[in-house]
Amino acid sequence: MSVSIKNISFKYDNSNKLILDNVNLEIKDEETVAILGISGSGKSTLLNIISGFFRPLTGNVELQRITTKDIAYIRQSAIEMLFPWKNVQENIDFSLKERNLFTDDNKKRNRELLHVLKLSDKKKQYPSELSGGEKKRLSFACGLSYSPKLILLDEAFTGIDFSLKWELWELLRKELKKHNSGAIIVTHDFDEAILLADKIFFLNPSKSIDETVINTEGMNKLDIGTAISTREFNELKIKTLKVYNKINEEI
Amino acid sequence: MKKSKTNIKSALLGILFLPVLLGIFFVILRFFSPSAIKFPTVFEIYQDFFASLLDIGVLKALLSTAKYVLISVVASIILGVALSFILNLSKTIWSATEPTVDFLRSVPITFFIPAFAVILGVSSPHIIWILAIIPSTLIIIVNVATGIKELEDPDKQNRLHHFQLLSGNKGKLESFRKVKIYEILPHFISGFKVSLSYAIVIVTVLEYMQMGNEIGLGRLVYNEMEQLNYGRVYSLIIIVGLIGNLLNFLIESLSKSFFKYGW
Repeated sequence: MSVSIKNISFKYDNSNKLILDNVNLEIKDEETVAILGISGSGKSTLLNIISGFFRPLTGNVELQRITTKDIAYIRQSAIEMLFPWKNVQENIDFSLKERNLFTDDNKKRNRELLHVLKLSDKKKQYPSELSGGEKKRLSFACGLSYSPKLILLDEAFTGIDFSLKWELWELLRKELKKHNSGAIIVTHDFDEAILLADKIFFLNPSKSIDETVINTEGMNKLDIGTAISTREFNELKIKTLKVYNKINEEI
Repeated sequence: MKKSKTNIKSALLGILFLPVLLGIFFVILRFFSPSAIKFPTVFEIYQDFFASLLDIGVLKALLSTAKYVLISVVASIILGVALSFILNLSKTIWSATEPTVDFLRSVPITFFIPAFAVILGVSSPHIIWILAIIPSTLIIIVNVATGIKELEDPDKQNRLHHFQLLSGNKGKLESFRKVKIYEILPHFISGFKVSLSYAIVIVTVLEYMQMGNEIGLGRLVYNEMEQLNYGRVYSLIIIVGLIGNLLNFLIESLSKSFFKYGW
């Protein structure tokens, strides 16, 4: 699986300003990339273009060895990913049924996902009856249910408590490894970017810096608890902060 | 167990409260009304009520009114839903027609009575259909069209996009069948409830005004009033109120069993 984003520019119909201006990014061999950038720099727009939701003004997205059918998109707002008229079990089974993949193995996998995400006893409940954290966990379960090859996460871990965030980070890492999948993570959280991604890409609207990619040096392969206690982790965080601040100052 | 006991207690209180309230109302009417008419006693009214329940004439009037209401509502739903989709085909069509829909909705339906009475004649049964269908259809249009317009909201668009990804890029028909219908349904249900109330009010008022239907509940109330048979008039009011309660209960139960979800 690889994704090539070539010379992407984009503007919204009701605006004259380019929100993305000639953006290039390469994601190779099941890599996980974190995208950092200030608010309004077009991070979410870029994910919408990759998933085929928006059409770019110029440039194109080349998907190799995958199609848009292999993409999952997990958003910050869990309720936008859930069907309120379906209960927890129906929501998680929905994709498999639609794709005619509702086999015994996949049913078992969904049961396991619900168990891992502590939703086994909520199967018959509707999204409106779940807490915020449960909705978030269900949205992850739905996104992961069909073993996507590329997972797009748009501030998916924002607004949740640290223990749930940690659990979901662990789950995502396992799933990516298990299915040889790649991910693109849009975030404002440096820890998340360093602990989950192979590299960090900065959206740089003012073109003020040359170095727009930082390699996380395998930090995402280490156990999370071990990784955050290393010197390298803190050095990466400082490096990331410096680049981020430089872009911010220019703007 | 404790919860079910509380529910039974609440239901019993609800059932008892209405006759007590009506009893107080009838006592006030009997002793404090400035009218020279002698009002029946509470006992006489309840006696009339039970007699009316077994009266075949009341049943016939009820069925006749129900027929007009039902046909008006069904026609309003078909027309209203179809027009909502047609009006939402393009933003230009909607912009052109929305003020007219709002204008027509604001005019009390009784104001249309003379216009249609001149064209159709006051005794024509068609006058009931037309005058009941117009406001009921407008209500359905306003509600369903709002539901359709709200599909453009970012959260609904994101859900549709999510459906596309989950389903492996299924076509427009599938997204309509599996997502859009469910997004619009709550708006339709709200419109349906209001349009049903409108249809009941208009049909019975027109019957009362001796237009169109000669054997409906409205006509029956009018006839009983003409004969100063007030016990019967109040017993009919109680029957209509109870039917309204039953209808509300049925609609609520149906809504809850079909749509176990909330937004």
